Amino acid sequence: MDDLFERALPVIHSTLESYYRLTEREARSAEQDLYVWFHRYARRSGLTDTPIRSLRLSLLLAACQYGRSFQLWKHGGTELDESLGRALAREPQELASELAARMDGES
Amino acid sequence: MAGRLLRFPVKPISSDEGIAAARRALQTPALAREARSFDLRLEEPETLLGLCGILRGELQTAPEAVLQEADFFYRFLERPKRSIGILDEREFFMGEMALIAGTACRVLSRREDARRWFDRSEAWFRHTVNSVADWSRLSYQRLALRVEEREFNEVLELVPLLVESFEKLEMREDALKCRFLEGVVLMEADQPSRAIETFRRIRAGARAMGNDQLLATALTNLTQLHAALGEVEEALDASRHALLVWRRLDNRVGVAKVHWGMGDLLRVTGQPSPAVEAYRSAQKEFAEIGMRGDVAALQLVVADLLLDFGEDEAARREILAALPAIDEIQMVPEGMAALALLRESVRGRRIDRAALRELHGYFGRPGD
Repeated sequence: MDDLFERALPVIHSTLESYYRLTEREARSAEQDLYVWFHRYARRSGLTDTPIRSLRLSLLLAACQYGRSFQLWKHGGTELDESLGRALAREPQELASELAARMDGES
Repeated sequence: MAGRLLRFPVKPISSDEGIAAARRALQTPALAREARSFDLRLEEPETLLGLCGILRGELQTAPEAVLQEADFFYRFLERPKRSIGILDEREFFMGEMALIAGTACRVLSRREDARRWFDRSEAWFRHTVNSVADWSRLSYQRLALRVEEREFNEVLELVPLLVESFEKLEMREDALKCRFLEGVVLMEADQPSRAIETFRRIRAGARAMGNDQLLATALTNLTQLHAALGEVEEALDASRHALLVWRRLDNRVGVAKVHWGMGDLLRVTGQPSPAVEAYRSAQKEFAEIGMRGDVAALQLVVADLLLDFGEDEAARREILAALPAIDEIQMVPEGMAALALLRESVRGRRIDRAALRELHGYFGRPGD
């Protein structure tokens, strides 16, 4: 579990900072939340016997949903610049799949 | 003076503490829980995770109690809207409590209620991170309900799709559980050889996975199948193994089902009195757990056996005792027709055996 999280962390961090434009501090706090969430997530019914590596996509998706929801909440009702607006309009599932494929390509 | 409720950060708890908190919560009377929710850590995801695990584990042994508890915690999480955990955790626990409640209703043969809970579960799982996995587990329960309603063609068509979905998600245990539905349908559709083959494959898969629950369920079904075919050695062998595992798991329903299989074996080998004793023993277990559908099914089985020996009046009493429970179970139209025929024949004191046999076929059930 920890190993998988550690390996995904650079991708998560760069997605939160560069793609969803969280500040460094916000990204670190998000990662702590995601770490706690992921440890509980892996113990949900039906997932306890699932190979850990297959939980990676869920972790990446959770990170994308976190980043998107956070920015939507932070900027609620205010005008967004074009690139952040595009990022928030994209489906987190699509981005997470792309990140997982990129990680596969790198390993 | 108007006040403001301040919420101070609470130190998170470990998974072991969560399980202990879940046990404490269940030991606390439901009426006292809400007021003590802070002390009991009821809003902690670890506690809720522990509660889900405990309730799931008791579905087969105390379904009535599980239903009451899952209902309580569902309502607790629902209103007032509480902030639970991180990301999708509130939605997951709502969906999971509804799924547990629905499964308990299915075990208790309360089919309309089961459907209502499954609909609630579906609505909450729509918002979880891994909704495909959660929906797949829900689909399994819905399919199991369809097995009980004897929609065999639909089940046989849908099972391979669900197996594929679980395999894609690498949820091997759930994939294997789906094969059970296929085996049960083959059993009910009077294809014992194919059913035996299916359960043998499940037995091998469960052994390889080290999953005792699935292993014992496969062995129990093999007991019933071999017994019905009069294959004494195979039935005894399967039953011995099944009883060992069920007792180790302290699963009363499993033990009762093996006794049911033994009753079948004794019956086909021409030992009616010991067969009735075995059926009664199973019936007693089911009654204590509150599984009225299974109690009624066994009363019909015993009635059928009594008719073999011309004990029509005793058979009639068994059927009359079963009818109130059968009335409470929402039957499919074909089952209703058989029930009407049986009721009419009992009134006329000439029991319609075809209706009797058809009716007890409507009580076969898959596992949890």
